[in-house]
Amino acid sequence: MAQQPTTPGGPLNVIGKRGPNIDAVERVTGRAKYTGDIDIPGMLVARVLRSPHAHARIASIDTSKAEAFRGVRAVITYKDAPKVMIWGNRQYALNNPVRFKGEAVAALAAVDAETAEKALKLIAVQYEPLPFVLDPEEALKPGAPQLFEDGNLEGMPRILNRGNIEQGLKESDKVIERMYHCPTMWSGGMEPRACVAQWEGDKLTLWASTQSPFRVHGSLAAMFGVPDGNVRIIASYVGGGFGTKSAPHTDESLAALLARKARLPVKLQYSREEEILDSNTRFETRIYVRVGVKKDMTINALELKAYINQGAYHTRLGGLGNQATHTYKTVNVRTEQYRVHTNIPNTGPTRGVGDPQEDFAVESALDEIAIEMGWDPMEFKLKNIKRNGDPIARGPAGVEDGRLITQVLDRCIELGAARIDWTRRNAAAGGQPGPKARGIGIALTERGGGGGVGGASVKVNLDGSAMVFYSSTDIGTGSRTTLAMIAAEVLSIPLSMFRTTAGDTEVAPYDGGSQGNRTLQGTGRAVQAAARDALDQILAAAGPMLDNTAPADLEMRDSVIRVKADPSKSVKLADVMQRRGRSAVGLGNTTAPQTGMNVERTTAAHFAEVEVDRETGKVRLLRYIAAHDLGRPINVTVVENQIEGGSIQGLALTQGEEMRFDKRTGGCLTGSFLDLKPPTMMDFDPRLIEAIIVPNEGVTGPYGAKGLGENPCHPGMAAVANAIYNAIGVRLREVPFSRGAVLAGLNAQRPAGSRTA
Amino acid sequence: MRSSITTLSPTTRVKTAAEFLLNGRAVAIDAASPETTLLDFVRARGLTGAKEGCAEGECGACTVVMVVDEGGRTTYRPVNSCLIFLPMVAGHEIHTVESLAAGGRLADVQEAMAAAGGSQCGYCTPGFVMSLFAEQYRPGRTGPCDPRSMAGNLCRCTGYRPIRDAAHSLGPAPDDDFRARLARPAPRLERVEIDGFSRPVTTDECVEILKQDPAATLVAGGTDLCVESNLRHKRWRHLVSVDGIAELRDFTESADVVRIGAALPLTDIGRLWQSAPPVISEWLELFASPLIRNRATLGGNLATASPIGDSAPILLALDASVQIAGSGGRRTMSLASFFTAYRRTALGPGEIITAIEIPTPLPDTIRFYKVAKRRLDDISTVAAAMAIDRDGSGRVRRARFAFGGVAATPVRIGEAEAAAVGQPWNEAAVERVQRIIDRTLTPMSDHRGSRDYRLQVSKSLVEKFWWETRA
Repeated sequence: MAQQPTTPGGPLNVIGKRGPNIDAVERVTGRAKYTGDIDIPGMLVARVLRSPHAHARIASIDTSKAEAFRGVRAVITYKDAPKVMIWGNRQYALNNPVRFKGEAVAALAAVDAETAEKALKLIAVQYEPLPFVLDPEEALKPGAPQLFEDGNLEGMPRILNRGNIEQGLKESDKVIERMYHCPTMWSGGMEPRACVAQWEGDKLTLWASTQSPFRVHGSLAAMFGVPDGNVRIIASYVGGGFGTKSAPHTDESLAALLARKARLPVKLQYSREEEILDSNTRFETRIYVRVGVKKDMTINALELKAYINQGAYHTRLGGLGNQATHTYKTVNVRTEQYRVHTNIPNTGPTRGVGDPQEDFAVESALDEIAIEMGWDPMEFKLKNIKRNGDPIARGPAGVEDGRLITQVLDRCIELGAARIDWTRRNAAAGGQPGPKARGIGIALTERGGGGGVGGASVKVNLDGSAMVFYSSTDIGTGSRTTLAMIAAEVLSIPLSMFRTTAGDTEVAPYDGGSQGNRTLQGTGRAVQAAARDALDQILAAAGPMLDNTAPADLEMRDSVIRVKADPSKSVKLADVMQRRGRSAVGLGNTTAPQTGMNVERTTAAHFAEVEVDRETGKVRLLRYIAAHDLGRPINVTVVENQIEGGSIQGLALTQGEEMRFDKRTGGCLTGSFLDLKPPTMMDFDPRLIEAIIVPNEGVTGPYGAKGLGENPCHPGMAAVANAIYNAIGVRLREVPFSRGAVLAGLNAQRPAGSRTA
Repeated sequence: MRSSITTLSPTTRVKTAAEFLLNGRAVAIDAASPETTLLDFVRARGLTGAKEGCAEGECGACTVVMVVDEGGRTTYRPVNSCLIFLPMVAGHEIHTVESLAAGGRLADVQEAMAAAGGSQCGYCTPGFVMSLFAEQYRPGRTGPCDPRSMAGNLCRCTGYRPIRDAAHSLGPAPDDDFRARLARPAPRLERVEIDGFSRPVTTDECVEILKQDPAATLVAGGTDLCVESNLRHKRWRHLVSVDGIAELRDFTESADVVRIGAALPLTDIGRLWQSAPPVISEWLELFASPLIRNRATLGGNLATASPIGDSAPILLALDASVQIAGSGGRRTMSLASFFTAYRRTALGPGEIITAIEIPTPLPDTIRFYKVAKRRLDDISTVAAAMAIDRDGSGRVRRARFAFGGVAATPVRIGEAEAAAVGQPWNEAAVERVQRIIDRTLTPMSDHRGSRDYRLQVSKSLVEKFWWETRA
């Protein structure tokens, strides 16, 4: 940081610095207990029988042999599943018919894993296979196999209109129509799904690897018909989520059902293959784009028609973000979305939800039309972006009823372009001779964040140490650290005196959970309020020890309370707390900030430089600049990690992580790390990714911070596709950018009859 | 403890007490099933730092270190604990992450990872810590730690930069008990006989065990067999580990041949074959992650006879032969005739590969190419090794073109080799070879690549080879 950040209240002491996570020691020593590490005496091990069919009615299911097998304590089938859908998402804990290959058919709990595995084979199921459909557009055609009685289309098509798209296209000087496809992609973390369920009477405690404990809490309380107070969800350490753990899922229901039936604690931990097949994965999108521009370089019309492959069920509905509506000053915009059920596994929100896919479509299409018009894509985008004061929609509706504030996207573009040296870009795409060619591409992105209800409490102990309790989670985003930093800043108690309890629904107030750029911004505001509440209590207690000074005339610095007007009059925090004789517990419950007409968004500009090998089709990343607006950074180390890690995830989508399905059986062909190929340290040289924190300060988040986690994952596909085009003149509109696709594109460029290497 | 080999049979083999040192304490191996992995065993004992992320050696979240001998030097070697059957660690010394800060103070690597912000969600962290720990204590290391030592560990949260920074921040290993341990010899592996598991210490013993129990299954590094067990729940009646057979871990280099013991881990091949051209180290790096290379062997890779195994193409291009031992005696055969059909070899019942021999001098020009989605630690779509020697006039004196992933077995394309010999090495030669490839290779289509794609890549690789080796 170039300068010491300040607020009206004075310089900041904790916020804006670099620093290791406050729980780093637990993590590097292996002491951090993840759900799978929990062991309870007498705990059973659960295993799940999965459907070998993509779509089938269960004609009969006989569990008697499995139940009689030595060591088996409980077996459940769809007959045992309460007729309450998991978080209202169309799916019971177990279903008949089953709607994807790999869906849970039955589950059992036994004394150990070996017994459970053996017993699974004793469950006899007769299936009546049903026709299945894997493609979202096919699924909407008449005569397509139907997954649900009310059809495959989930709800109504979601249509958003601004201006008049047909007229806008008609009045454009140039219109292009393109289709961009992203396949179903894996998006999980290092820790496969896991949960441990324990019933004590009618009270359920469930340790879960979830991002959003209160969502799981609500779902299970409803399923079992017990009061909220009878459920406790604990997600202390979570080994990554990236959206796949952002909502209640089958495994939690199965473990709770088995534990209730067996009257013993049950652990259910998915294998990697199960995690890939039965999780919430990134949904396939086929996005048809029409874009029209005028000769004066303005975007006159932008239309997206998207087919979204929800899979069999959905955690939450998939959908586009706001790339088409919120980034550019386009007058005529229309988006039309079809969320379609098919017989592939569940999809749901994953890092960026639909934004990476939408970003790929919008940012590629704008690159294409700019190049066709002979414009510099960066100049074109810079000219059209919304700037502060421009109208922008406050909600998802099309009407632009608000105005944009604290936007620095232009600075993101300028700083990023300067860093990569945009002037080195090929004036003519594909112009470089020789077997290897280099190119540079740009992609922008935007997102909101921080919505929903935030809740937290801050407790200052009798010795002056402090704790933060919150029920959203630290899934690797550093929230334990950044939330404690916020409390430490408010209270001016050293950060080293803080401990945090994350992800526990019994000890912390309700909170919306960790997803959608919201923990730091949403929960963070609650922590700020809770810390302020605790501080007020402390100052009130200190008054009598300082000549009855009014709290407003006191301040706390480094755990010492002083009279503002006469700092020589002071008392130590620990002394105040000892005298007070009880903890100071501050509560913070916040809703989305009231900003009137003002709309605050989080933006970024990414630049990719690639080298394409014309012989093998290999695309090598040479440099990647990720310039981000995130308001004020709370912890610079955490911010850099989020930008770099998110960028790598976005880039990984260009290379693999595709879930491919066998058209004949509906089965997933890529159910392992070996097939999905998450990048190792050797795939992307970490030095190639450069994060730029664009100086800014927001107004809605704590200390001016904005949410960040999702955005870095958005622009990778478009930035790389645009760079590949700049290198070799081949436009890739389907992800992943395989060597075969690059070679096919190059072959198509060659005049007929020429030699193909 | 020694029993007469002649009396051994599956039912009368004398059991030996098997134990190993876990974080400095002797632990008995009493698992119910020999297929229990080291990972499951340590976790069941409450050592939950090592995690299961994939159970197939792809993620490294389960990394532990073992104390091994490297030509008289003792070193820590990181391995995937999910790919080791518990009886295989009999006699070994194993350290898990819990061992590092047992004294109440963080180890250097732990301090470095914490300070650099190298741990986010933290699930992968103990694995990274153990790989980096072994790197910091690597005998003879100078300068900063090499981040490539962690290439077998996956992280999803960071962009790896802070982990790399942590490696670079580490100096020499501190003068502590872990370093002191390296001054003493590594454990020597002794004979093991427990239910369903044998570890002989000589080739003859091994052959005798296989003769007595024809249904016994050999296990070398276990990097393939353990995946079969973990993911497909395969079980074996009797596993015979070749880890303890000194002859199979030999490496010798003479004037006209390099002899590589069949059970020598790939890491040691790179270490011992000091005269090897750079292509050998490139090949080993592409073969698998360091964690896998620390266990995987050439004998194991050849015996599984996968059409896309990574060792066959380069060994074919090097004109390697295979030494085989069986109850009928010993024999040597060329690798080119070793693969007989899809996943079939010329090994007879009870026969084992003892060594791979490579004639020297090696070809003047040799290249290895692996085309896969991910650069390292991946299954090849196509693997190729090509070698040529030229005479003084630039004509090809000898050519070898070997491919994996393009037919039911790894293949050498003799016709293409013959077409190149005696001719100048130019574009015309490349086109001749490509036409023969088009005609003779029979790749299949699968999710890793279509038939046409594999053919085109194979031809492109010949062109690339020419481009890189043209005069």
